[in-house]
Amino acid sequence: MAGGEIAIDPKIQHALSGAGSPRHSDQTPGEWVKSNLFNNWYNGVITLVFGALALVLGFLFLRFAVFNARWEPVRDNLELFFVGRYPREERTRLVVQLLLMSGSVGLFIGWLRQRSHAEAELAGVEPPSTSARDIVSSYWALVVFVFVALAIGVGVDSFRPWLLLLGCAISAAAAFGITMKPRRGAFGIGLAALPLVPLALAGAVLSTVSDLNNGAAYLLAIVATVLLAIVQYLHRPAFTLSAGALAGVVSFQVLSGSEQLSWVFLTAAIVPAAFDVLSRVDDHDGRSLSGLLGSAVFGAGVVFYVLFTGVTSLRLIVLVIGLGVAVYALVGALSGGPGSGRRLGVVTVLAMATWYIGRLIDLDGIDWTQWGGLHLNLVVAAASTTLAFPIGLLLALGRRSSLPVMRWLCTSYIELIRGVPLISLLLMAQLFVGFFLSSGNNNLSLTTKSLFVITMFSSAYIAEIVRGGLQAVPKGQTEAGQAMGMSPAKITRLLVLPQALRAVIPSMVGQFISLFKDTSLLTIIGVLEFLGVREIVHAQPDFRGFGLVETLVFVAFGFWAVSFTMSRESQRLERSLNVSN
Amino acid sequence: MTASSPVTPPSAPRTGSTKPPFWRNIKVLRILAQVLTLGVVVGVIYVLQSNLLGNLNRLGISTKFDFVYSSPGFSVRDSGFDPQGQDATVWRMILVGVRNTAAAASVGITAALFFGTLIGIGRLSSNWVLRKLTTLYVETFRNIPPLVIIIFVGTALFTAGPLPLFTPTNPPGEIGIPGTDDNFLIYSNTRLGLPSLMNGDGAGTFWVVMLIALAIAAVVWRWRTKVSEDTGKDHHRVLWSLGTLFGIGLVAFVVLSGPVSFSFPAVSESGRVIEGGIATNDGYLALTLALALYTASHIAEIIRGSILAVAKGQSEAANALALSGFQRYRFVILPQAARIALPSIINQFLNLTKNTSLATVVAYPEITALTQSLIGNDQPAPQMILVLMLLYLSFSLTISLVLNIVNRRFELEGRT
Repeated sequence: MAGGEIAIDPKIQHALSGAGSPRHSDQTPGEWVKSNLFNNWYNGVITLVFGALALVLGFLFLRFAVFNARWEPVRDNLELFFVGRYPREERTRLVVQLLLMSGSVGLFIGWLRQRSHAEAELAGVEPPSTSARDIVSSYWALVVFVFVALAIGVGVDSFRPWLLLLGCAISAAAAFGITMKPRRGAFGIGLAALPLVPLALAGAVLSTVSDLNNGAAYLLAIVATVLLAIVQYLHRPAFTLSAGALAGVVSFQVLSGSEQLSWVFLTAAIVPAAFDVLSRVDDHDGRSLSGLLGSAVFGAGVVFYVLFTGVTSLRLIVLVIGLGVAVYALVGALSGGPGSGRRLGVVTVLAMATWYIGRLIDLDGIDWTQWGGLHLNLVVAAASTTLAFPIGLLLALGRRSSLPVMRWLCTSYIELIRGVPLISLLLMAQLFVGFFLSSGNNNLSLTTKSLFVITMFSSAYIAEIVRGGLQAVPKGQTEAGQAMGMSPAKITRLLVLPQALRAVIPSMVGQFISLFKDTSLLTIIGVLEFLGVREIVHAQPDFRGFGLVETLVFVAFGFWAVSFTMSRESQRLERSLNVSN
Repeated sequence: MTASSPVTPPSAPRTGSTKPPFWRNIKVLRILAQVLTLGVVVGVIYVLQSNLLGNLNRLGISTKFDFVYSSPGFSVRDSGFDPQGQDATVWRMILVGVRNTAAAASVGITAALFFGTLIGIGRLSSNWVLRKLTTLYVETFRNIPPLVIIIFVGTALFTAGPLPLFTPTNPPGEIGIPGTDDNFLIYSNTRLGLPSLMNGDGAGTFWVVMLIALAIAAVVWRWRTKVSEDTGKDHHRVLWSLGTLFGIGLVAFVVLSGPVSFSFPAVSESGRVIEGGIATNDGYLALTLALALYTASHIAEIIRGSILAVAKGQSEAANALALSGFQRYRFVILPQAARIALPSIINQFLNLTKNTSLATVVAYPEITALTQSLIGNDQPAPQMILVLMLLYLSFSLTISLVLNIVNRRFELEGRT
């Protein structure tokens, strides 16, 4: 929607999550019918009228879907609907990406489960159990969609999709498995190595049907997964974060995206693990020395970057700011303070190393001007949510800041963005975002520009969600921090944010769903996404003006299945996160 | 604080040496941080703006706003926009767009609130069939992008709808007023025609009188409420107020000898245009219906949650007083639920208003679609988009302002 949605009032949310119709198991069917359908005269009328309506509508829909509908436009263009114009010979990348994605979904769910179990243990209550019924009620829509898509596409590409699905399921299950209890010992290692199985399976299948080009990317994916497994075995949160981010980077940027910025993502992915190592190296004497060294490396890195890439006015600003930060870190290191200089130095070294490595192994991606279909919708929604999250976090903190200028700036940005529809921002992206750059040449791809404005848009909504989470943290927490003599920054970082962010996970899923639905607007500015594929299909000579409703029903069903599954999953998440209170 | 501080008596005024240096003074730091932030933001905006202006000048695109007085180069059917007229300017076209956006948003909001409330209550019904059907409705429409719903309704109405077409050979359906030749409603798959009021001589006076009458009616309403509260008699305030309003209106109408009259819609000779009354544009029906369907599903969830959030004792108390099901909802539960629901529902209204910007897919000429057409007709894009954003901002601010006032009234009444 051109609006995006803000999470509904927490009071309402709470009432909704606790709602459920009571079931009386000791009723006979006759009693049930009497109490639920005909308990008084107007309920009887309602039952008859709406029952008849439901039957008629159901009959009409079934007759349409099974007998009258002509699914040929969908069947012949199934690939177009799912992946757009992705080059045929490079499909291996998508397979690896899909497997990694389902693996990380499994890991995420398993990690949440682990968390809620730990909390339940702390609170001394029964850990929430997930029954098969819960799983089915969450995922049936997606499963039905995939089955329908496959059923429509029978005869197009008969056996590979099934194997791929199997691989995805195994990957997700295996990633879920490595978060389970017996993590140590041979069994733990075995569990941890499980994600390799679907990768190997997919590799084997694919190598029989097409040339397995781009082996480097494939190798990287396997390395990332192995890393993930080992790290989970070692059980260090920062390492897990790094490895997960690495897998995400590999799947998103290196495997399929344009390669120019892959080193930035790679650096960002490795940073948590590097910091973790740093904080564990226990050198009391070398601290200030390494701090000095680190800030020097950082300063040198900034100078090197600016000189190497050519001096422009923007880079001069970067140079000044970078040198200022380096001096600040230097002063900190001289006075024996915390090793911020060292951290900056580590980031610089990592950035240079990954940049160099990225140059060494040629990681050409498929430029995302060639992406499309449902795949693009998912990627745009995921990427812009990820990118918008830090911005939204800063905006939310700024809006609650005690400094009036920050507060005004953040509030006006948030309200400005929330007051205009997304389509106006997208039109801006389509028509003149390139003009804001000094060169003025409009050579950014439309997808990049729309990703940029969607991130801008989404950050304002995420800021409001995070603000809601911040407000929900009891004031006593801040006061306790003050009583301990903590600085405001530390109170925010160590006390308030962790609690606030945990509380907003379900709303963030809601924001993701809303953003996923919003990506359908890309079709208006001419990006080939799921809905936009329709126009191409109906421009084909065979299907001109034919099967318009059928393709639309298919697209609507696709959007519905993904959104519905995620909203069910977020409700389940909310229940399991609420376990300790 | 320096090492000498233990020597200083606690009550003694602090000397200059005990003050922190200015770079550790929190007050200075706060001001510095704000000035720096402001400087960076202003700097970035300045750079972006100068880039934009430079690029536009280089490409020879006008950066002025005088384009609003030029001719738009196209026309919109059934909008009252006369392309040959004296004031056929871009500015007039934008106003047409604003009017159409307002028309779609206001009717959409009303319909969505009505259906959403009914469906929300239906989801809590004791009737199994109703409960399941409304759940199906909510879960379906909530999870489909509004753009898809708009296209769907548009396609359904255009191709396979039960409504008649609007072409010379296939005339639209008409519902006449019995005993006259006038039409009460003209309906087709694309356009509707409805009666409207026509202002004649003395209409200005009449409307001023009606405004005063409205104020008097409000006073009467308060008076009846007070009478009822003081004496316990039935207030009948709706009857009293309406009676006052219509009484004064009738007197004014007769005295001013018919200042306003009805204008009824009719299909023109050519069979392509609706003459008289109010005619909706193409796509209006599809857009409004689709947005109402979509937003109703969200409002239904909010209403359901708010009803559940009303304390259970309230409902039980109403039962204990032997109120009927309807009375329980009307007098006990809904007023309290409305108070809880209002902020979220305001949000939905804002969303619906912003979603009218998707009308371009059903060719309804609201402000975004017209902006796109105008840009396509060589009007400068940056200025047009700026105007578009400012318009939406003012819509959003107006709606939230009005409804926040309503909300504040509600809240104050609720407090004890």
